[in-house]
Amino acid sequence: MSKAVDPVQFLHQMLRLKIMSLLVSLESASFTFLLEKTEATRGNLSVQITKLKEAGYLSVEKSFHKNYPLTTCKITPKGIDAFEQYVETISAFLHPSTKKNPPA
Amino acid sequence: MSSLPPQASLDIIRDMIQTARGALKDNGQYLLLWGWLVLIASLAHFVLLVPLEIRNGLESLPWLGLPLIGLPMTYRIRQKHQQSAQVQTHLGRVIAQNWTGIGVCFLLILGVALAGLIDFQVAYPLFIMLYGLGTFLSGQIVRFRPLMWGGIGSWLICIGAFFVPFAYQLLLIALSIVISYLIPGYMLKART
Repeated sequence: MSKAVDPVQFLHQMLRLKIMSLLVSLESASFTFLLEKTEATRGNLSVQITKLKEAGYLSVEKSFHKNYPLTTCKITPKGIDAFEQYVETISAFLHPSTKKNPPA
Repeated sequence: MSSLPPQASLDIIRDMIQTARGALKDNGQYLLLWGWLVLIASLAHFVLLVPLEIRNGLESLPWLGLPLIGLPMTYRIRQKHQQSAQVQTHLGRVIAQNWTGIGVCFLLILGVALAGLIDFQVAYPLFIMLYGLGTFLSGQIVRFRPLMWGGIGSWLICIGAFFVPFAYQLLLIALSIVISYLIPGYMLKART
């Protein structure tokens, strides 16, 4: 079951943000691909993927390819919402003038 | 905010999205496979029909090579690619759906022509139009101009094909496939 977390605070961590930014643009990616592109250590990546999975932002599928274990990660709709919320908050923080005003 | 400055966050997002975009790789395998099959079939059909003057239906047999060789080989390439791929892209899926849709259109036109509802004289230019559509859309998706130009070239050939006798439509199909499949296919292969 996923834990309720504040998406902005939760994603404001370099490696989690890298993982989410990669996965938001992809259908799915293997652990090896994420390891290569994020330049993280195996242990740290594994920990952050688990945390993102527990938050309900990622789904993780384990299978085998040529007798080797293959871990595939995919962003969930909840993860996409959280990522969008994060980007909006950061953008509003950097450009306060472009923040959307509620209709009068 | 914590130690990660907001601008750095946006930079990370931009860099990672850019990296993910680079994951879409097309080495032109499908274009080369289908390109060669169509080229050989259309030229063989022309040779049987015009110089050898075979007109008992056997002259169309080379086209059977498309489903008999093309479909199993496409399946094999796809399986191989899926097994070795570290990453699946949204655009890759869109391209696959694009070609599936075009394949269905081919079958519909072929079915209508075989049923005698339209003449093959009309069907062949429509096939050329579909070759153009497939490569133009794929070119747009992967942002590869030779594919887009190949698609546009096929559409121009399609117009011309409506005005020539059936036998010469076969040569136009061959020309269309060279400019929209084979040349861009080899360019993609060289690029990767």
